Amino acid sequence: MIVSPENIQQQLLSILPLVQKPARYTGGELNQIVKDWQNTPVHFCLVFPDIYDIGMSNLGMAILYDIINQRKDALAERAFAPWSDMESKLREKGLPLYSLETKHPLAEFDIIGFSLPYESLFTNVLNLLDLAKLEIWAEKRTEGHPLIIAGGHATFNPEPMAPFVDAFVIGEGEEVIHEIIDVYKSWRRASTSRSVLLRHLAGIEGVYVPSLYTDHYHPDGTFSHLEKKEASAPSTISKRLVAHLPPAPYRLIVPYIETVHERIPIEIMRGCTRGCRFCHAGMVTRPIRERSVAEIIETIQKAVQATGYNEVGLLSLSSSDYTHISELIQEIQHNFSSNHLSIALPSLRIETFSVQLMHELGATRRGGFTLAPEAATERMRNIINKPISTQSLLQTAQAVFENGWSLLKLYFMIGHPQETLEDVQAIADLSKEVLSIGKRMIGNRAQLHISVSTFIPKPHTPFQWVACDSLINIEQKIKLLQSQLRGKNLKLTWNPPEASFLEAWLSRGDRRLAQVIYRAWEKGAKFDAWNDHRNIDAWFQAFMDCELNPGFYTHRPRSIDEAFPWDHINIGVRKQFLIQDYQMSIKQQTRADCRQSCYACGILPKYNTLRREKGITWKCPPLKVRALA
Amino acid sequence: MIRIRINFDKTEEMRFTGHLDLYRTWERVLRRAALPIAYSQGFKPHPRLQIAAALPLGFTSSNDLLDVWLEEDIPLAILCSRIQAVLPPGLKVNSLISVPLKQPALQSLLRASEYQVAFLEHVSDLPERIHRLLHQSNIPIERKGKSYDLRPLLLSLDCLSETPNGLQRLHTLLRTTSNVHARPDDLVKAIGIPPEKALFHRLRLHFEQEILTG
Repeated sequence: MIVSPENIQQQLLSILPLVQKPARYTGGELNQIVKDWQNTPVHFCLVFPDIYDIGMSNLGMAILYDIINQRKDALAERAFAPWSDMESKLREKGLPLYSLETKHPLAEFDIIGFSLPYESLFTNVLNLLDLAKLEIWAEKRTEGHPLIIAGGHATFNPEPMAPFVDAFVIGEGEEVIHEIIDVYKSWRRASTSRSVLLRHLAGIEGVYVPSLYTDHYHPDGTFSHLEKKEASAPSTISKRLVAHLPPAPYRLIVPYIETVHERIPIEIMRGCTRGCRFCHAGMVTRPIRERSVAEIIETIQKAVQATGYNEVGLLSLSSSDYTHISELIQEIQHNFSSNHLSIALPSLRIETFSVQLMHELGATRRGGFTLAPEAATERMRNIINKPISTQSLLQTAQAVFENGWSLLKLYFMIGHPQETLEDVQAIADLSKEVLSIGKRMIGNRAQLHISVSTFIPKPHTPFQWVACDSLINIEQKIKLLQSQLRGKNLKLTWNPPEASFLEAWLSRGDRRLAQVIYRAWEKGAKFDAWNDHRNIDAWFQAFMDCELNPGFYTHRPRSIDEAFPWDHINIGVRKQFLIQDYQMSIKQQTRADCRQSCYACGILPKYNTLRREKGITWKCPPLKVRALA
Repeated sequence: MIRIRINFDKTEEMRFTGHLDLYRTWERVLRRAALPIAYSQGFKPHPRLQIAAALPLGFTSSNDLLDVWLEEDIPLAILCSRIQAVLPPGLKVNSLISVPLKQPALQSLLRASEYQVAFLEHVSDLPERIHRLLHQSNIPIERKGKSYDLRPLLLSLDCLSETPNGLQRLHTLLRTTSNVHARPDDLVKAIGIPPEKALFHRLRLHFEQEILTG
């Protein structure tokens, strides 16, 4: 039974007064785009599988919404995960998940695109397909159903979600989204079978159609290979990247209610040249591409006019590395100092210059100053390739307290298998030293927050061969920190280890894990990213039901020649480079910023045509003549 | 510095926007209009805006009032057109006037609020329910663990003709001051109807003295 948009709108009037934050479910915000449904050929629904408050702060959603709606022949609308109270209401009334703009049930869209920036959203995807009254397993969907696609950082290993998704977008979506819509349109004109559509999609660079492959395993359970079912399917799928960052969206939707970030997000650059070995983003977003100062300033101007926001977030993986950072800060001061506009500049390097930058920006002192040393000993810093000196951390901390901040936040990571209790003790010692500097500077007002996350050996990083730390070890390390880092000027927070393990299983999984995800969802797992909602018992039970061992995925070191379930995904960085970097980590050897000299990760030869044509904003060092030939 | 008073409607698109979010929405309207909003002094300066009366989540309104302080004197006609150009869906400006800086805060002058209630489902004996309610000597209301008597705050209550799409309607005038706030959804509950089966609209505010309301 199809429910009409009018019917949904009508029923919402008596449902919404009974749920928390009903404006999550109404749409109608400033800068929302509503197109004529009847006269627009392709209907695309962008879905962020967590609540509105979180999804509305996702930059990827805003970029694709803008790009798709610029096309005359397509419309993009939005949907998010309803919170539990709204979900029960929808299920109770038999109402399907609908889009915010026109209240059309999701099943009436042509293409549904899920944004998957992290793995703990997987069960929500299943739940939303179910709420949309769609088949959860891709093989059960037919011509009459929307095409289900997914993209985002978590899909660089698509295998665990492969049986649920028709096609994955690997890499950056700005250009490939157009090709997908074009292929969809011409397929529909020809009105042939769904399998023809899937085959055509597989012909697009950067699109992975999992149903064209079968997974195979060795007798010991380790992954063997993917077998193509059709000769035309590509053997490897190369990520897409845009040679030149397209204009940033500025006509952003302004929610009526408070969301996670209330600000204008502007990517000042994409990619990172630091090569921290644990960092998934740093590996998969290469190469480094920058926006010009003039473009950033112009975007801020237009966005303030279009939204009325009073905060701008200058986003990148390592802001201090932006070539023209000082000039950018000066220009912002020059143009916006009278505007009551606050500027957030996250991801700063650990050096006193960062404090100077924030000071010049006139940054608010309220939220504190954040630095991410990750490790406290030189040995661990070399292993993870984040070689900062303790001395410069201490100097930076002093500058932070001297310049008016009373709160310093430090991010550390524990759980690398080569880490010892001495390395963890060093975190406690360093933290105490930093706090004593703070107290010396500003007395008892000095506050230190220590935030500890657990290392996850992510696919496509030099640590993909490494095992997770055991639960016993992690608990012991956290206990050590807890016992040492006490007192009213100190706050210690950490990720629950089970949250990290779940993320590790899901990010490293093979296609068999889909059954586990499905079982876990059936047993009530959803909102796995929420500490108070995560149902880890459902996951353990699901693994048992599927006769799989979670530790198999995460708690054994891999030999260099073991095949990974994500080996068919080519991120442009050569596997040989990752192996070399992994071996360097064992020897505690570091690699400096690759803006200075190229270590031949593989990006440049793979994408050399792109760079030659439009790559003037790339910050890789110049190519050698031989590589260009 | 000038003080202007904006008479506005909060319409369907913003029905589920609460009071604090309405403030933030107005703040953004003024920023988009690039007006020189006056800021409070202090550690965390905030724009000087005052809304006459909080409107509960789920209500729409007409003739709502907002006072705004601006650093510079800008002709009203220009102000009005700049604001009109940047309103979000859900806000409509009816008029804009200048008021004396010294006038007391609107909240302190507030005396009563006039509401219209439309029922989403037919109520068979609505006139009888109203009649019975008006003859009660007290109407005890429980709200968030506190209780109050609605009867002395109920200034008038009548049935209206049905809306164009056939919904039954009530019209009521309820006492509102800076510390007493009788709510029409409590009234609806008191006649035995769940509030989610009704739509609430505040028609206008009544003040102690004749003040300029645009």
